[in-house]
Amino acid sequence: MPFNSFLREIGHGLLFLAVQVIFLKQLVLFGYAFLLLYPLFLLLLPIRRKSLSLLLISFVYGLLLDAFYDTGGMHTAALLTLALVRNLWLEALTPTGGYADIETPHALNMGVGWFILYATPLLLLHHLIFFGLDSLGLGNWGLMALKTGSSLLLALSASLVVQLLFYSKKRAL
Amino acid sequence: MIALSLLFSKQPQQGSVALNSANKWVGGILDTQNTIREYFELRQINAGLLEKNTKLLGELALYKRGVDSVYIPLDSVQQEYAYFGAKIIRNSIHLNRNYFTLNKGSKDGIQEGMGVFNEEGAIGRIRSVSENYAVGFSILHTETKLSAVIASSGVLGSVSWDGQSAKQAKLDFVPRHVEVAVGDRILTSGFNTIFPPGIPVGRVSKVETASGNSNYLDITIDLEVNFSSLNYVYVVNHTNKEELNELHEAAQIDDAF
Repeated sequence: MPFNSFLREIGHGLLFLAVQVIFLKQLVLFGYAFLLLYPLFLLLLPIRRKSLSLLLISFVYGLLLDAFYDTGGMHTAALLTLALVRNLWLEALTPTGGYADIETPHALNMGVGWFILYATPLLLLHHLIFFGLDSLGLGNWGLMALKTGSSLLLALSASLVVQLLFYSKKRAL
Repeated sequence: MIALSLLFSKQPQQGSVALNSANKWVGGILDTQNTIREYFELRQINAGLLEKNTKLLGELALYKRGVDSVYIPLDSVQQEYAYFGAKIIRNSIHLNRNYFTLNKGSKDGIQEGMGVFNEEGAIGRIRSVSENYAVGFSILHTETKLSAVIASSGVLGSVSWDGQSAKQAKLDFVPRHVEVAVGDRILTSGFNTIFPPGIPVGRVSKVETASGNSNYLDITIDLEVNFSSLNYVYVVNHTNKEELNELHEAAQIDDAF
């Protein structure tokens, strides 16, 4: 990977992190819907990125988030699972004729419908693990399902809006 | 690959204290963020401080000596609690295990296990301390146990949180025969080394007989503290904490929060 795009990727990640911990963390709609936008960073990494590097990135990223949220590993666990499954899911979703020269799987490149199909199960998994770990051993699963569902909807719509606003067709940002 | 990820994802669960917002860099960023946010809450903060001042002035008037009375200094009485002022720079209320971060740390004399409250009532307890910052868990933490009494009858109970609403908590272990009225005040008991006695916790909002064979009442309380807007707080240290804790340990009493 050229040094330039390496730097751009780090900047990209830090931007997502800063927006998440400074602004979005304060925002919890109705006390249920968290806006967890940062998994989008992982979703939008290049298609050909190796699983191992995805895992490493999400590990460091998760630890940073956990430090700001004081959630002791919940973000890390959720992100790592997302990272592990991402490439498998991408493979399963390969369009006929392959990804060709498409670099990043964002909505403008692949179409909104495809992106929703790509992001929904991955975000669902991430949210399930995050809120599942949060309510582990408490037994209030109804509340957990409510939090997961509403946060998932919010994250999906926010992901689409962010991409339509800030991304151009050729490359990320 | 799967094993690797499992290993990674399990580990941070256990060592959760290692990397948290008491960290120098994380704390610094949160501190700056809070400084900015504080401008928007100044009116509210001032009102809270004014309220506390008025209360203290009233209490001070009680201690003022009349001119004609003979004053005997009570030098045998040692001050049992020491207080520190601090500011909450980060707080969460929507998870099941909620923590807050203070802008004071070991440098300012904050230690693990101290109680935190504000002019409204009890907030929580310090959990880990770094040089400049401290992290504590609030009453809104599902493993919290806070020793409390019902003000009208003096009956002892234990406040816990069920993760449902940031405005309500439960009062456990109050026997069935006790008469509890809606609106009764719940105060800290002072039976442990965390809080001095008499700090408000909440008011009884609902009393039910628990289903089944339980010997205890199912009491819901409205918390006094508005956890969604916490700013300036007091940290309290019991000066004989070590001695008391040692004694409790020797007598094999589990110290509840």
